[in-house]
Amino acid sequence: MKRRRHHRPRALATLAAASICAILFAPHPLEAQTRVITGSVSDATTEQPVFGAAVTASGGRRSVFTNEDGDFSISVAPGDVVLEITMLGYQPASVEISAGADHVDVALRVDVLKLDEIVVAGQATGVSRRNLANAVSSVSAGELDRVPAASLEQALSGKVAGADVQSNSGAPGGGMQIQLRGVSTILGSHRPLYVVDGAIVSDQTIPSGLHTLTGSSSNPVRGGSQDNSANRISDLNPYDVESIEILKGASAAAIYGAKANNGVIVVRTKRGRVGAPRFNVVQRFGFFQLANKLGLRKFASMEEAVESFGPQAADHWTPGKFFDHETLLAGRTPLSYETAASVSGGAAETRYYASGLVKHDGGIIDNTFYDKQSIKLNIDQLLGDKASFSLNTNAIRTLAGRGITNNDNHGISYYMTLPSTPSFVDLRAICGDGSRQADVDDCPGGQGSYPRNPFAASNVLETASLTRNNEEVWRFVGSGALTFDAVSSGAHALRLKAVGGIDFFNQKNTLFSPPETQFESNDGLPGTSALGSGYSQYMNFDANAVYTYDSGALRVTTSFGTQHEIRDVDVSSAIAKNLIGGLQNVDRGTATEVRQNRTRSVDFGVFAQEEALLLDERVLLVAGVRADRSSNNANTEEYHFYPKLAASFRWPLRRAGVEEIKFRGAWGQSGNQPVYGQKFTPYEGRNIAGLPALRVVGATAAPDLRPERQTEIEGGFDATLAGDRATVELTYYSKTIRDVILERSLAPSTGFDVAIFNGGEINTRGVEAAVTAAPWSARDLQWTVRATFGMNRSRVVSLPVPRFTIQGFGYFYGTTVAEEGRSLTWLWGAAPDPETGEAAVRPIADANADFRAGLSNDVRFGAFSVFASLDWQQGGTVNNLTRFLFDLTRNTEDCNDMVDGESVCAKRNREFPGNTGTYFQDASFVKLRELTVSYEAPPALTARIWRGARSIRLGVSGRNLLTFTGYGGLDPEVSNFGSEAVGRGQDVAPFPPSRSWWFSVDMAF
Amino acid sequence: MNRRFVARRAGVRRLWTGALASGLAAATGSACDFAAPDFNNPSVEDLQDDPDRASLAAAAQGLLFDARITAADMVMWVGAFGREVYPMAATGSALPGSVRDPWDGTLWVGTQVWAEAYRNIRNANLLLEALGASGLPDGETAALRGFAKTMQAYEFLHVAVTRRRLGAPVAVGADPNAAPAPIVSEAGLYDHIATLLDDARSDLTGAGAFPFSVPVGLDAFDDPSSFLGLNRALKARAEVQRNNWAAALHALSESFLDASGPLDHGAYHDWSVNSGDMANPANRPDLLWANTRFRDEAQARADGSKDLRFATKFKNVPTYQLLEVASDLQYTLYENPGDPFVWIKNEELLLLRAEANLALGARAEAIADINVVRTKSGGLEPLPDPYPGADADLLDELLYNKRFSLVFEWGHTWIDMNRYGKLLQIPVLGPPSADQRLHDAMPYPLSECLPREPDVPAGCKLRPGIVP
Repeated sequence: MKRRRHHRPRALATLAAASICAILFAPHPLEAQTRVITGSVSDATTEQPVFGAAVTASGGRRSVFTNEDGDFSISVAPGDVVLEITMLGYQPASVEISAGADHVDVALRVDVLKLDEIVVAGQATGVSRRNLANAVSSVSAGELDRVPAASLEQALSGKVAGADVQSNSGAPGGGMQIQLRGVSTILGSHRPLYVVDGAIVSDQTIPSGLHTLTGSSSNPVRGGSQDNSANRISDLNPYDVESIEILKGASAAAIYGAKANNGVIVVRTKRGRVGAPRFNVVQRFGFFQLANKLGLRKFASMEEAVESFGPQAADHWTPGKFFDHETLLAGRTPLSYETAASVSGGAAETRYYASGLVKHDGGIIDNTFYDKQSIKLNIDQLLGDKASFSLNTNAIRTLAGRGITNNDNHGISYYMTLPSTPSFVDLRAICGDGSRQADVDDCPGGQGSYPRNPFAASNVLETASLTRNNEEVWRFVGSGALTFDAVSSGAHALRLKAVGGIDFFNQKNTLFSPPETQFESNDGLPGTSALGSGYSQYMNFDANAVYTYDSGALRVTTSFGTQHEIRDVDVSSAIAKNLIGGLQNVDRGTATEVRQNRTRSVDFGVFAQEEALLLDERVLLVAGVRADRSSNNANTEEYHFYPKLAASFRWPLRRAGVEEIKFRGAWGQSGNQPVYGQKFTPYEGRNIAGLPALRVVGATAAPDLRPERQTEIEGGFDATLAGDRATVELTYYSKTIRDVILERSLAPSTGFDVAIFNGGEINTRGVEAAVTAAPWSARDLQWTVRATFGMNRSRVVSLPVPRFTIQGFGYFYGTTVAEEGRSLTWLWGAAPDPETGEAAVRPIADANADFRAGLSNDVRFGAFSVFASLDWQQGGTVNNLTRFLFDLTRNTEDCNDMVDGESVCAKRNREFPGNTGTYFQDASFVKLRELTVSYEAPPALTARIWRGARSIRLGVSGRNLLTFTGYGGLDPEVSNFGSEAVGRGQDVAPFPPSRSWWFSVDMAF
Repeated sequence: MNRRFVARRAGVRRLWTGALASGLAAATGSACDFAAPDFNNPSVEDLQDDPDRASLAAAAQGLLFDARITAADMVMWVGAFGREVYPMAATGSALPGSVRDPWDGTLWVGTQVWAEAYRNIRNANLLLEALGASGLPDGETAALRGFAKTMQAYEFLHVAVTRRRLGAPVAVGADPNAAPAPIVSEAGLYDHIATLLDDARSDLTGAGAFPFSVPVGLDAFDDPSSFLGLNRALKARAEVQRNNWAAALHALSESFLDASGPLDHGAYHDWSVNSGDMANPANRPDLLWANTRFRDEAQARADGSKDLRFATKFKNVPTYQLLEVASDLQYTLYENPGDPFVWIKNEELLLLRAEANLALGARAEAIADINVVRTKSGGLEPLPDPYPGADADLLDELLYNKRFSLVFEWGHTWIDMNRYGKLLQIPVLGPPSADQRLHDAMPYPLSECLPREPDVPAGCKLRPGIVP
């Protein structure tokens, strides 16, 4: 079972085609509809009318929707009928109406426990959560937009069991990682697949080019990993999201084939409902605020200062006078705002949803900020009675000022400079009138200049004030779907669906530091300007056929489809130094460098899936298979097959407070393609004094490079308790990744660094739990609690190569390492051998958290509602190299503390070379992610305030308001290298964290 | 079934046939173009399969590209080992090898003067392999072969002077996936270097023109006959390393040594800020400080001022302190990112000849060469005639001149002091401490050690070093 099988996809296609053709012979009676039933739908708890609920007569394919007053009217066949009433967020209702009746009132109960939502089960099919055989997490609109978020993942943190959502730094504009069910790969892509309304959407990170300034890496191709760039899923507007479903592993995501090893995140955006136009406007104002500081040492005497900073410390020393450089740098609280508006509505044939967003997050550091503008239009159009067309378009612009952060070898990035900047030196600008200001712009008339920092290569206040690191993105995400109900009779339905998706963006990076900046004179080329352009184009085309047979007792869904995808990415940059006249144009430098990197991937997949719902909807059986080929594989002709099987059984217990238990189990396989370029053995083309030069660049590739293969088994149960007031979900999974894409470290004496090949085996297993309860549900008080829990452990089962380092700064400073029999998440370094006491390279601490848990409470009390969400990480390790740097210069806040006659920071620093673990620190934290208090104005007041307004809600909210942690750095959520498969948790001069406060007005018309 | 339904079914069927046909076409992949070549780099196979003149020239020029990277390791890391230069950056990245213990338990410093040297040896091997299939005339093939072997020898010399008694692998041209090449002794390493240089000499003798271009730093060596002078200079350097004095003198006689010529005549490694090129990595006033003991050591000239070499190569700067080390001295060398490194120059050849003559007891010849350097380069008085000191004093005088003439160029201080067992005489800044240990050899990189387990060579074992 280790080897790949060679099937002909043609056979698969023929098989599926045959079954589809067969059903065409089924009888197809015409419907005669003559009778009209009217009714109204309301919320069972609040008794408010429910707008937009779908009402369908059993056997009919067409729905009508309730209007603003909850009323509907539907044509049905004569005789007894059953009306199905469904509405997102409510439990569906089924009402029998006798032949003589023509009116019905229906009360819908809020589906707090989400038992009845339809969850994605295949590429074109869905299944009710009551039957679902996988632990698919879902998050819906109301849970995403309570507090402004820079990116979609931020809004998910702490809300999904088994999803580890972490930010890379505190920089405005995102830069986060979501890892589903722990480690899945070492060198392959580690990002989940994002699918938005059928379009495969890019979440890539295109480096800003900051390393050309900071020298964090001199590698022109892979040098950008420490640039602290945002991953592009942050561009999406969270207000547009209707629901997010998260397929965490192969057992759920196998139908996405060779792209699904890291999970699949399926996003559906909001759509219009039939009825009069509804406007919704949310206006928020707020600010960001520095949430944590490290503190700098306050020297007790000039002698101490001279001892650490040399004789010139005496020139700057004033007894008792210290400057809080961190606050001067990052203490800003500029006004931030967000305006989100939407309008939706529609007639029977055409429905629309349109939205707009204008957002500005002011940064806590000068010249850092995040702007986003988005417009979206979704249209659903019926084409006669058999076909419909939907169009989704979204145009987005974002602009972020990201600041100068992360690892640096030139003494420029803020927290890389502060260690060598003593707290007694005044870095503030000297104004024309002699006064001092942190920001030169605050000087009278803007006249002034920054003093040289005599202790370091740069003055952080000057760097923040004069340099620019901006990232601008224009993006279009669109998809179109054509649905054709080829057959629609009592028991048989055949739906054909074609979906095309496109995601295009252009990212423009401008990095500028003018010649007068202190550090610019160091290399003899004052002034640096870099212009980067990233051009990304993802296109996918899916064709699906879904046949459903529903006899009442048995419901069988057969689906078949293809997916074709092309991804083109072209990143180029021009870097100019020694800027003539200090101009930013990149042609105005005497030293210029131009770079370009292009990638292209072409994938094709075929899938077939069978779902059967039987025994009165108690049993669900699913079987499917997908076959994929890709240009990223060494053999582009070969298909790789990914099967799946799943089953669930609902057992209505109805005793001891347990209403129902569902047992579920699933098995599946998925893949992870090689990354573009891994299959090549390249020469690097360089230039020496104008002459072309070729050199080997370190990597050789295996001639049979192929996707990694994950086999996952998942099992668990979902219980509904206490009269549908609570649900408990418990899931165990174990996934094994074989054919792992590995680097064999070649002895450097070969002239190469690594050989890339498939081999080895990784196992990751874990437990996820989720509890949702509605302890109180009355008209005046509703209380909902959700708790999530996830933990995972991974282990390298076999590794056919000696251990090798994965990510970090080598064994000296701490690195992750792949070694057989051990988790990939361990941080290694030099440490005393327990027996001999000699320093030796060994594993020191596990960076993987013991567990992640989330708790959110939603309480509505009359017109008031309160929502709070806590995110808890227990355990894990961060390598606090920022502290190492402060210790190195004896500038850490605690350096005055003595132990055995030695400064504690000197002691740490002395011990460090033989004990890398000196700076490994526990990364446990509890964060208050979101807090919202809102007040809904009563109708009378609403009418007085704004005639015509349907509702007005006022709120105060905050994000990341509180952090409880023993971690000694700025924030235990940190990753110098950005998103990483393994090897996050390197803390090197990150952007400091912030909390945000917001006041909001939410109006509906 | 009624007729109406049959007709309807046929219509649907036609639609379906079309859909399925196109679906099947797509399913077999005929609709997709899966060609996605490497847009960003030429491939190694291209050179081997189709070694055209332009590719061979680029591969040859590539040897010059990489050689200077190893040389940069020598300037900065071996320079730090010999305390010529103190890399002091609070960013921590450059600390091992300077004020901290370079042998840090993780063999971190071992990657220096190793990976790049062997990369270039591989570059040369790939070029030599491609030559076999090329259609170049024999004269040009011989010229390329002589050039490539000389470059390989230069890289092996880097490894030899830094690993010394630990030895290093030489048979490294095999399949990279095979077991690592065995370690040979220091003597074996020098034999290999001598063989490469002598083979190259045969190839270069009477070869046709170079079928590639050289950057400006090699202007004086741009054809096989002049390049042979550089080959012999490197041979002399290698022979002096293994105390093979007579061979050194013979090699020098065929080198570009010119006692009456300019002292800075020689070969240089070029750098530039052009796109795709590299700037001089030692152009780092934010990182690199000079050892202030040069100020104390510099001899006085007749007018009481300091040795001209001190005056021209060093400058005073504000004091910078990191931990217990403080310096107020920096180099004036490499103040511009395009400044070249010295590869090997006439001044060194004179001093090598003096060294060989001194070892062979030819004091007068040695003093004559030392005096050329003392007067022309240092502005100092010639040594008194007759020289009153013992041979040991003359050796110290020679080493003083090598130190000041060649400082910050190739790590000569550490190489020379080490060779004469004078490691502890290297002047060290700051108080003696365990962090200031001196080492008589550089370790291997850890990545070289792991594939060799369990037969761990001596270069992989931790050594305590010597506390001054």
